[in-house]
Amino acid sequence: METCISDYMVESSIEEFTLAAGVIKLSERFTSVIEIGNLLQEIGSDLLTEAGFWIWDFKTQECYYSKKFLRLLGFSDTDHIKFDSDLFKQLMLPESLEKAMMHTGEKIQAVDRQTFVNAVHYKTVSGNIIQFYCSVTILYEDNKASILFGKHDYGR
Amino acid sequence: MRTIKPQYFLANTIMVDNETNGDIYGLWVAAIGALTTSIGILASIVIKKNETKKTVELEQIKVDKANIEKDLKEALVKVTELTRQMESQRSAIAEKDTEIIGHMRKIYAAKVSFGLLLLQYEKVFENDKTSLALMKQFYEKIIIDQ
Repeated sequence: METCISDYMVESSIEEFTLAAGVIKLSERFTSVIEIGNLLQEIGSDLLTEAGFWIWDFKTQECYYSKKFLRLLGFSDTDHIKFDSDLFKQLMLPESLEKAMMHTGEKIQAVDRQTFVNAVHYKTVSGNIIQFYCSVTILYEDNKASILFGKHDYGR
Repeated sequence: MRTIKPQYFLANTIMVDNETNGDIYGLWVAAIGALTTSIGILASIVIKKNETKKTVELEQIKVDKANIEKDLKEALVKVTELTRQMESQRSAIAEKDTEIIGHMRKIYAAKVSFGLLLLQYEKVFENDKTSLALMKQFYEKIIIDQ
């Protein structure tokens, strides 16, 4: 299955489509999701979301977290963040993580290209619980999920 | 029987003999009776006057009450009209807000898309520095300052 931007145009919102276009086009030139994330950050992609975005490389387990997302979780721009998927496990509430992973796993198995939504709960650095709706999109490479990216919003 | 003026008696009660006592008491009773009657009449006049005053006051209160009710009804109509206008304006503002949010979403999407295009075509315009500089300038001045 090839990645095609037009597939995202019908069902997605303008923000989801723009972010998808960004990730897809940049992933053609760059291999690291950190690099892709930084470039998307630079061109103001956080504006497309209410609570930031993330990009997860399924093969390398590298994970980029946007500045808006990290700030909302209580991190400052100068904090040293290890950009891998472990941060999800650390910050998401266990039951929320389990549900999100199960739902995402089902979608990956179904080779479903549509964007889907997970309600996720995070624990901030100060210990507060915050809820976001995460619109997740999966990009496939040779019928295998290669990159996942999510856009966080407060409501649906 | 002697005719004795009451005022004389009042001043000289001790000097009066026993024969005249009955007349004196009679006069006292008559005087007290007359006084009681006068007081009664005066009291009834005062009561009547008070009643009339109260009636006038009650009438005034009724008029005032009617005026207040009228004013209240008018105020209520005005408040209802103002509330309707406020609701209408609030609804118009909400519509405008939604419109503005829609425009902002498009502007943000355009900004990110343009940034993405710039990243994509940076290599294409490698040999055309003027166009690239122009595009970057456009992006920074128009899109970023938005």
